[in-house]
Amino acid sequence: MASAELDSNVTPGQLRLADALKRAGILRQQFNWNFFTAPDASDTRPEAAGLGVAILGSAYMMVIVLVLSLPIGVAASIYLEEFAPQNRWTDLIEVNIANLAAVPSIVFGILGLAIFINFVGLPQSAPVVGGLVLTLMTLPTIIIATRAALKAVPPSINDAALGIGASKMQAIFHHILPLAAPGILTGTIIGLAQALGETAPLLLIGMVAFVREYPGAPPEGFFDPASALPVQVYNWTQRGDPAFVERASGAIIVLLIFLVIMNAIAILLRRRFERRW
Amino acid sequence: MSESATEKALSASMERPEIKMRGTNVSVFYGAKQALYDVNLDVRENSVTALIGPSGCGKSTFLRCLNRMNDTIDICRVTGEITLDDENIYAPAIDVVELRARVGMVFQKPNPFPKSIYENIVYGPRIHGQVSTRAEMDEIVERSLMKAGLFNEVKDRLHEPGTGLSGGQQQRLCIARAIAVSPEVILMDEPCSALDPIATAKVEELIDELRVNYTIVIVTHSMQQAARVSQRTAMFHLGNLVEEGPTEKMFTNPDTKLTQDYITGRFG
Repeated sequence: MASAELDSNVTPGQLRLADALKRAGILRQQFNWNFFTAPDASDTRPEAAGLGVAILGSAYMMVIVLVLSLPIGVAASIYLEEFAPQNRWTDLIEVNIANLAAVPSIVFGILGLAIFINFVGLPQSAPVVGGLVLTLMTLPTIIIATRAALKAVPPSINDAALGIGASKMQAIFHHILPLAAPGILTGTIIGLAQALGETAPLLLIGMVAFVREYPGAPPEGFFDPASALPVQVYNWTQRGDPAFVERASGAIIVLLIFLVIMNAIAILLRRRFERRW
Repeated sequence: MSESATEKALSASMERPEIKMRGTNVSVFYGAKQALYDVNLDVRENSVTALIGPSGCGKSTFLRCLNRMNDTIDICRVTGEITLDDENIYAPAIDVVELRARVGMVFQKPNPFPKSIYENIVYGPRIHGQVSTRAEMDEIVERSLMKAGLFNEVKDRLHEPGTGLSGGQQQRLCIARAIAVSPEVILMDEPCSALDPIATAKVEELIDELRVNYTIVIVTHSMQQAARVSQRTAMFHLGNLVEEGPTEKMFTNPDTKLTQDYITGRFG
């Protein structure tokens, strides 16, 4: 009610009518499921605005990030940890991976804009571009976590496998990787959670646009315009109508719930599969 | 081991001194540092060869050359020639995987895979395509554990983790795992150093039994152990092979003063 009084879309007469209806028991309050499913709405209809497109867009991006960064990250880690020769190039790559993890995210946004949109010609505001940019951001996190997990597997396991005639590949894929899997999974989930909350790079690639249409089903949907959860929050805080402030608060809570769930899964996995040697 | 068994083994090896593996001028370098200097050592078939010497003398390094485990260390370089059945194992045509199936290894610290006992045994034969059906796997698990003297202790918990066994049992599981791929030679790198005296006695007994079917090379820090289980002993010092001969002679009447001093505990 408080924010409705400030609202230019609602007249005092409408407010009084609402109060009367409520007293008469005709009007009731209920949980707004539409908030999760409806798309964004225009400035004049804050009550209709929802997170539908943003949740879908974020989900699409997470799928892209997971599908790209997990295999590439794990493959890169295995190469660096088990196969790479010790030379200047390897050192250089290692230092750069550590540095990449600390690069401000807006820089990745500029990179995505320059490469994926201007050079490759992918559409603006599309989850595919957002996913690619977030993949670049998540890769260092996953590589660092995976290498730590691989390193934590005792060398005696490798010796044991080689000692009975397993090839290097067999030792890695049959023994070392499965033992490192919980650590890799935990790192991946934390990387994904980080990517889910990332806003700055998405602003630069146009995901801040007002999107009313749901993106289509994948894979075509990856190229349709979509929003993302943190960007939606940013977007709503910029709107004139005070009702959007409430929307923004609700969206932040939704985003935080997703992050808490993902981190909880990571902690549970670590607890469940942690191994002491 | 009883006196008569030693004598029998000695006479057997004299009648039929089959050389299973032969190292000729083996030198090993870790980067610029040389760890072994022109070692010439023969390993006789169906006997136990003990490698003794103070820490850092190169005995483990030599052992790891015999199945090319040193290949896993980037900076390690091996020169000279090591043959298995008159075939140079460092020849380019040699498949390291196949070599390691023929020359198995048991490590200092028991290192079973963190899987079930059954899976531990079956893994080797399976990757070498030696077993495929369930029945064959069951059979090889039972046979290997029998040979390692472990079957009766674990037959009711074959599907429980191998890491849940006691230290001595774990080491015998590792021996069973090595046996499962039917190697010809088994290398043991201080297999009892992490075990208590009772478990040690069991493993030593096992080594003596395995000698009938396999050629065994064992690195040990314990003089008594070398005397108990081996037929031939080689003494290393600072990367050189000091002396090699029948164990009995090495321990009663060694040729060099160095060996005598080491065996009697005057240094090392």
